[in-house]
Amino acid sequence: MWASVLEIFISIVVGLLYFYLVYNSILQHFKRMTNPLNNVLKILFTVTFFGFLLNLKAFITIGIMNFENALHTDNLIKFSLYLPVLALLSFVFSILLFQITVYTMKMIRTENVKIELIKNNYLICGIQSVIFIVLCLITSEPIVYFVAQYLYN
Amino acid sequence: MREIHFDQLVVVFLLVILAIIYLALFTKVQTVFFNKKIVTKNNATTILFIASLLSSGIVLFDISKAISEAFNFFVKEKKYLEAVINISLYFVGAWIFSWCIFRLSFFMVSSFTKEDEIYELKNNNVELSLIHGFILIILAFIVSPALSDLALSFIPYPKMPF
Repeated sequence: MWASVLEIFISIVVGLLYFYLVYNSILQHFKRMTNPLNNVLKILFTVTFFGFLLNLKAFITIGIMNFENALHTDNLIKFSLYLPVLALLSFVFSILLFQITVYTMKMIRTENVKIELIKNNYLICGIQSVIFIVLCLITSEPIVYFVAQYLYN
Repeated sequence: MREIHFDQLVVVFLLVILAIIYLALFTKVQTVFFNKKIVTKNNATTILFIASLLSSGIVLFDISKAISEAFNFFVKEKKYLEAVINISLYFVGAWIFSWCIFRLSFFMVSSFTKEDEIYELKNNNVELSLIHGFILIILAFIVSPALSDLALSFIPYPKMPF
């Protein structure tokens, strides 16, 4: 029972720290374009935040599965460290996907994406949002399998 | 010593590359289509453009499971050529399927509403483009799992004795 309580406690703390980290880092990134944010950047910010959370959900799932293993192995402290590490890995992976999305946008659109976003171009915002979310959705499962090998081997 | 398989990392890399090509190509083709057929750029066309891209993304998401399954299976069996052929066919099939869904939805919306959709889109009919967008997305949600199952049926898994 105590292991489950600890699991919930660590998940909440890690989740909140992750929200804080993601919120501030993405907001700073968008605020460098224009401050205060315009409508398009607000939408893009929300979608990007959602994409980061999708990745966190995928990574944390294997951490929680590990916790259930820890109940049988009495190695709780070691396993409780996995969740923050997984959250950090998820953050790094999400940033990588975000950068890939930015480069893809530069590749497929002739106009300057940054300027168009500042000019409130909803089309550019929509395309970038869809590409980022699709990348997050399709890559989260295989990358989690890869990371899980380290935890379960 | 831990044994780490890098297959999944290769799958991630492969999926990222395929997704970029898929979405970039779809965006390019859609841009040409919209510039040629509708010409004007307004809120209605923007909504429809994003909805069509999203529906193609949903199809890609479902087919990506079949792509990673095919990769894992054929690489484990050391059938590299078959892996390339299967993955390419799934990729091309999904892309054509997304495009067909988009074109088919034009006929559907036109038949439902009895209106000339191209003309309405030119006149910034946002309601119509929202309906069209939702039809596209729901169609993709409904049909793409079946497409993924069809793709998976081409992987020659060994038959179970029971």
